Amino acid sequence: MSFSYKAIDWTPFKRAINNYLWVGISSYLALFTLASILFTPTISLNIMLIRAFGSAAFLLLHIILAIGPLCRIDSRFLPLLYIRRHMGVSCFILALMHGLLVIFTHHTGSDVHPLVSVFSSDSGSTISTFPFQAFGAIALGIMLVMAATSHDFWLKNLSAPIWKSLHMLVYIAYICIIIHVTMGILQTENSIVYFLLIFAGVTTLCTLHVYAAIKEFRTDFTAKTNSDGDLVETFPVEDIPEDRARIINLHGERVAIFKHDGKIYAVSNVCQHQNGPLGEGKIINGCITCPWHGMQYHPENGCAKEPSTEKIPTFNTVIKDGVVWVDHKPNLPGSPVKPAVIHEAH
Amino acid sequence: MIRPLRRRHLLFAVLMLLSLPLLVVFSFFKHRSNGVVENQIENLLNAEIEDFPLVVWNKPHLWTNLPELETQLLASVDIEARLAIRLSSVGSVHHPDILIYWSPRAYTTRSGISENMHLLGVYQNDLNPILELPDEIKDKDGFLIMYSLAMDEFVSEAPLNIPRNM
Repeated sequence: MSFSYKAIDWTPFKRAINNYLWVGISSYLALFTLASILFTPTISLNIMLIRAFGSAAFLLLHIILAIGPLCRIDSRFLPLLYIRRHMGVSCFILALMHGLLVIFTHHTGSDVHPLVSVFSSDSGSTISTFPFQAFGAIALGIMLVMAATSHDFWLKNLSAPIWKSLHMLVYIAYICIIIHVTMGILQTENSIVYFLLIFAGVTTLCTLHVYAAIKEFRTDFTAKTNSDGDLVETFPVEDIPEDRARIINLHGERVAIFKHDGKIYAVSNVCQHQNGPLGEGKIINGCITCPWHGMQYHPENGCAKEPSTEKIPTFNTVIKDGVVWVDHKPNLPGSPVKPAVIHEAH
Repeated sequence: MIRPLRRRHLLFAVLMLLSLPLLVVFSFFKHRSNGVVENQIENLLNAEIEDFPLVVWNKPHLWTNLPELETQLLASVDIEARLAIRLSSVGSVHHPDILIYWSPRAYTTRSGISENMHLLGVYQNDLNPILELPDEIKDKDGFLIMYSLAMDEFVSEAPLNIPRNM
């Protein structure tokens, strides 16, 4: 464990959002318990807790998976990204409690090992003849790996692309959980309401993801073609808001073009922390600030604000006739660049 | 650098949108067509219909929350005058692992499955189980308790009155 890393700092705002998460989870469990006592007074404590933790994890997973596409669609959801990993770990803890209670309640007391029983007891089971518990166990295993590697230490040492690829397993976990629920406990339910709720949840979530993914896909294939040697024409200077950026796709990679203090800077749009879209952030105290987790970079050289050590590629820029032209060839990460000065160009 | 990730994300999203809603619909129709899942311990403790040819009484609507469940009290013709309960349902009871108990008193949340309750057998839709009453309770009034073992949950109960001339 000799690798060094520097976690993103917590701010009072981030702490406040994190507190809302725990208040929300506690409130849900309290309300579920109250509703169980009122409407199913004969339910045993174990079964009530299994349902409470399981449904809480299921609901929280939908919220977690909706955050990404919602942020792509509307920037007002961006603060939720600060606690998405905390939500993920919380979801795993809730699912783990659900799984442990199920094993304790249904899989102990025989001569079959409880873990073996989880994978073998559904053939001819009384809840479902489909091996739904195995799918729940697979999903829990994936969530365990994700929770264990959720810390910035692993993000730094695995590198963002590998870490992101690993955490895309959440979609496999989600599919397993939908199978677990629909082919498991729902098979014993009389009410159509549960099916409708899950259908609505699944359809809404998947539609959000497809919509956001298509939006991103279009951006990737909207390429500028007017070039002069290595320089590519981008946006008029006045179209770039002060301390903000416009994003352009150059030869398959996105470049964020910032305007700050009378100068134009161009850097890679990809934050090295978690691949956040830097061009959707803004310049705060002279630093480009990622909208996802608040990682900051100096625009003049692409180096992260100390003590972080991340670096992003920079791009040379010039202004011709009020239009920003960007060199499509990136400089090495952390390379100082001379910004294009707006008043000189004018 | 992250374009392959975005492409993979689009692929996942489209696959999920095409498959998961269908899975929910499929599970709904599977659920409706099956009625209820099979019980692997069928016939446990169940008696044979030939042993109890006499119908003492036949009562519909005896069980709480389960109007479709019909109850018959059957008797044998031998000298032992054995009694049995036969349960038949025109609908489905959607609870897994249902056990039938006899209890001297009505079920309460606090009592749970207590020591003075007698396990009569397993209930399963479409099997119309015949559950013999043990000698020690066959001349006593009491209650039939339906309990889901998998859910560890009380399901329903029915008063059981034995005619005094039996």
